[in-house]
Amino acid sequence: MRAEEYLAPETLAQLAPFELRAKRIAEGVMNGMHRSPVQGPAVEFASHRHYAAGDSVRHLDWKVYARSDKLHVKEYRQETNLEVMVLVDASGSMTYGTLPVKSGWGGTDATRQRSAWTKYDHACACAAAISFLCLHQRDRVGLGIVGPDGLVANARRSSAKDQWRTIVRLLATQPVAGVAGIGRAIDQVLAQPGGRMLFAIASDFLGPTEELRSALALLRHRGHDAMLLGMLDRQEIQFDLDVAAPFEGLESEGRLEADARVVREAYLAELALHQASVDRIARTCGFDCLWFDTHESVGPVLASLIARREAMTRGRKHG
Amino acid sequence: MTFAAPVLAWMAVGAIAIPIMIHLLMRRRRQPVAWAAMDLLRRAVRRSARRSRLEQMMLLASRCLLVAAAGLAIAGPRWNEANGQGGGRSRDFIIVVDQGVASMALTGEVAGQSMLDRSKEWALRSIDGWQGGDRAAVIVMAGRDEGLAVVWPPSADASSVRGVIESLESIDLGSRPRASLRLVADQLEEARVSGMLEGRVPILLVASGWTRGSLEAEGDADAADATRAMKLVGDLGGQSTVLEPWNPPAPRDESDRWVLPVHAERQGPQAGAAALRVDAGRRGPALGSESVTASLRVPERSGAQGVQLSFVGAATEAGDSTRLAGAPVRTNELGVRASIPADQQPADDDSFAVVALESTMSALVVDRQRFDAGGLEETPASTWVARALDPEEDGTIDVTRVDPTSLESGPPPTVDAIFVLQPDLLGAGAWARVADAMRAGATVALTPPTSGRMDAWAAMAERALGAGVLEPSAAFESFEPAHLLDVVQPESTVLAMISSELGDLAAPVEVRRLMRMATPEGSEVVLRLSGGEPLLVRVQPDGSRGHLLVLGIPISTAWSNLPTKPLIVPLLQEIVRQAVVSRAAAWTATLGTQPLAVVPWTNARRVRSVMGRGDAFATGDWMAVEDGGRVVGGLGAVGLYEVVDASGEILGHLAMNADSRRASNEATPRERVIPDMTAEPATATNVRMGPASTGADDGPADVARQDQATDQAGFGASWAWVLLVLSIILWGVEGWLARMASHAGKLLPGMWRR
Repeated sequence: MRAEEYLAPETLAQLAPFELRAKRIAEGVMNGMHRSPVQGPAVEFASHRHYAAGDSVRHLDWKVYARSDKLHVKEYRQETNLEVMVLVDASGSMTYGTLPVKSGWGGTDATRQRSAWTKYDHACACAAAISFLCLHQRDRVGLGIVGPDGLVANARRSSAKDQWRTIVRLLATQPVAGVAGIGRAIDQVLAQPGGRMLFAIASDFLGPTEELRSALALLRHRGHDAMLLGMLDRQEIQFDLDVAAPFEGLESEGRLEADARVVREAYLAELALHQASVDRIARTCGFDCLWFDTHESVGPVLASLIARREAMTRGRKHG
Repeated sequence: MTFAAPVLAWMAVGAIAIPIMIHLLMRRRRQPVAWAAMDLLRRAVRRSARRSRLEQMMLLASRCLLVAAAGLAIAGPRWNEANGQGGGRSRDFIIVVDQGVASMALTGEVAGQSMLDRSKEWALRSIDGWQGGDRAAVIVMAGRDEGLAVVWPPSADASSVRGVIESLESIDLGSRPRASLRLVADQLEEARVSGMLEGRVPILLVASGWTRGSLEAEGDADAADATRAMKLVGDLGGQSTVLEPWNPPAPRDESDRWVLPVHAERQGPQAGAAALRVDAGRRGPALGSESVTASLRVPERSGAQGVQLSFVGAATEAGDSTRLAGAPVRTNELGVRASIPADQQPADDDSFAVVALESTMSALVVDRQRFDAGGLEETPASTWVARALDPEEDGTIDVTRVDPTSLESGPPPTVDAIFVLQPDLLGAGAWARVADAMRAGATVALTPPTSGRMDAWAAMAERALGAGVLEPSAAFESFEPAHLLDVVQPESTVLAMISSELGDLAAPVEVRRLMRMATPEGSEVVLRLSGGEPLLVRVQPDGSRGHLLVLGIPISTAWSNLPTKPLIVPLLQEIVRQAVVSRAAAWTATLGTQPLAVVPWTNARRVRSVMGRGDAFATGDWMAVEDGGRVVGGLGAVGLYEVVDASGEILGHLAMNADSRRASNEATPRERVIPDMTAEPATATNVRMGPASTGADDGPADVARQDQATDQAGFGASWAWVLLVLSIILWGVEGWLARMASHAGKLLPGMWRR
């Protein structure tokens, strides 16, 4: 697996001007570019507080003492690196795709099944891009592949040089089938030791929204940040099939007789409701949600999300 | 609701299964489609199931209705079972079509449409209105006393009946509409007895142009036949309908560039050859330099080929008549046909004419037989007359001398002219023979006797001839000195041929004694003296086709020097020639004015065509002539006819021409047709007037009347157009439903959000 098979140069070019910033405070173990809840040795002033016994006199603000004759200690905000956890849905529904594969597009287990550019491929491309971007800014990136029982494979968070290749190799070799337990996978990740993280969840989110709501609420409660990267094939978005045939689910849901021309309007309405529901859940938790068309390039869509997050972070910082 | 083609209707009903089968076939299982968002799809199916089922049912119903409506429209639905004839019983249409000679005439309503075309169109409409189980019989009326059954018994094969009606053509014989229904009555009687009409309703349709004369020519016995037929139809629960009479169009607009027919100029008798001349004229603006080519065709009865000559001339001014003179035609035949090429005028403007050519002329000289003494004074009048009529003794004029007593009994003489030179010697019987001959067309030339009283024979002659010229009380008048003939004689048609020389011929003639004559109204003074006294008077007595010529002097040198002067020869010969013209020459009639032509010869017994239409010169079959001159079966076809008496001797020829301006064709008034068809008024109330073909001039009232009559006649109104409109609507509905069911083109905005 070559890097360029998952990370096209144009995607890198589109993401290069941006930095993936944590909207929430990150708890890293190393100095970095993200805000840390720990105030300590840093250069960015945070606030004043009254001097307490035991404080180092080095942090006394003598200028304030001169004006007010009171002892105040200056506090500084520590900046740390970002812990990023990329979760990729490897359920059977992610193997759906209608865009014919072209040479040089890499190959995953899903691609080999369908001979098409699947939602899993698109999710892998997103995960690769995000991982590359984070590693490039020396954040720590981990990967979790979500299967029926939660994480079926994972790569520990690391900012090592070969972490990106590890992630890509893991994505390419992992079988894609069954259902996805995103909630269970998040529980498994949270059970591991670590601080606040940024979760990038790439899935089609076609499962029950209640499970997703519970999982995201847990993340929100623990103070983590998250990005929901919804993957939908263009056929799923437009549903312009001209057939009256049985539809067979990819996750063993059985067959369903339907005339696509007849149910098209109702399907599109249901899809709109589902997308709105996922959007609302993410927004309620303060997370970002972005839907991808697998027939379009990853770069522009992902760039718009990162740019938006960067703008919000910068505004909060200066506000 | 019935159908003109029930088979098609059943096929249309069966075709409803086609969309149903397609619907079921479309639902058969296909290769499954892999799909990820099954939960969404399942909810969508659940959500749209009811509406989808409704749409599908509506779509299927619209397709079934579309197929059924289109198929039934093609099948020709009728909706007249409730109010039409028969109350649901099958009908037997008895279609009687007039194909007589009068049906050749163009109606003038539709270009090229003849009366027969009009009748056929009307008859075919009854076929179009057939319901299931209907049948039709076809009877034509022409050529015989009763009609001819072309299709009998009634046939249920609509296409065959239609083919028979469409193949009908006009024939050259007259028709007898009322008498033709005798066959209908007889056949209906027979069918009723045999039970053939059990459960069926007869519908009698009589189609004719009803040109004037077509009904008048028939007698009361014929009307009884018509009444019997129509009454029988009514008794069987049926209906009789006669076609609306033809509505004569307005006379042609003569302001156009219309070229009148070419007429052959009638000539006087010629021996062996005649210079034929043709007049061509036009009405309306002049043609300018454009020329008209007239073609003369003279038949040779002895051979197949005729002589054809062409003349080219131009009608230079409006109303002008250009005389196209041709070379003499060396023929003694009587008929000539002149025509203008069809690209210059319609073919029915071909013109037939009779050219009075005679190879021999006959004269009967009635005089007491005497031996010639040798001197001029002693030369008998008959000798003078014979020498004048046949100076070369070549037989040009066949002169027969008879004694007055030979005329007392026997048939009237069949000669062109009778010279009565000794009237005082004729008895009553002889005068009767002479009068009969004159009424048959012969010319009687009468001279006074050289001596004797006048009152006895003049009274007898007047009683027989009824001319009013002879005055029994008149006296002979003597002139001293003798009177000369007036050099300026009145323009008389008798001497038209020698009018240019008449002055020189008359100058040396002296008259010393003269019989005074009256000149009653209608008489013509042919010659007169210089004092104005009439010398030769011509008169045509009432009821006579021949003329009486009374010469005021006997053919004797004691009264005048006329016998010794050159005038005597052309004078007497012209008298004979005119006699030929009046007795046995041309009669021209126009088709339409005499639909059942009356030939002008009272002793005519048979007539046949000697030159028919087209280029063929052929003789037709003999047609009998009734007393009074009416040709049995009618004589209306354009052509030249030969008329003979009982002995087979040719009496003359009749040229029947088309009425090129159609000004003389008249229709029987509408209100007269039905009463004239039936003898009993009660029957007439059961006969209706059927609609004529819809012409451009038909107004709403006419159309409404036609619709009413159509329903009454059982034609039934076609509902095909209603179903066709319904099919179009269903087509649109089906398309809309199909589009709605497939949700084609519906892209919901907002579905695609990033």
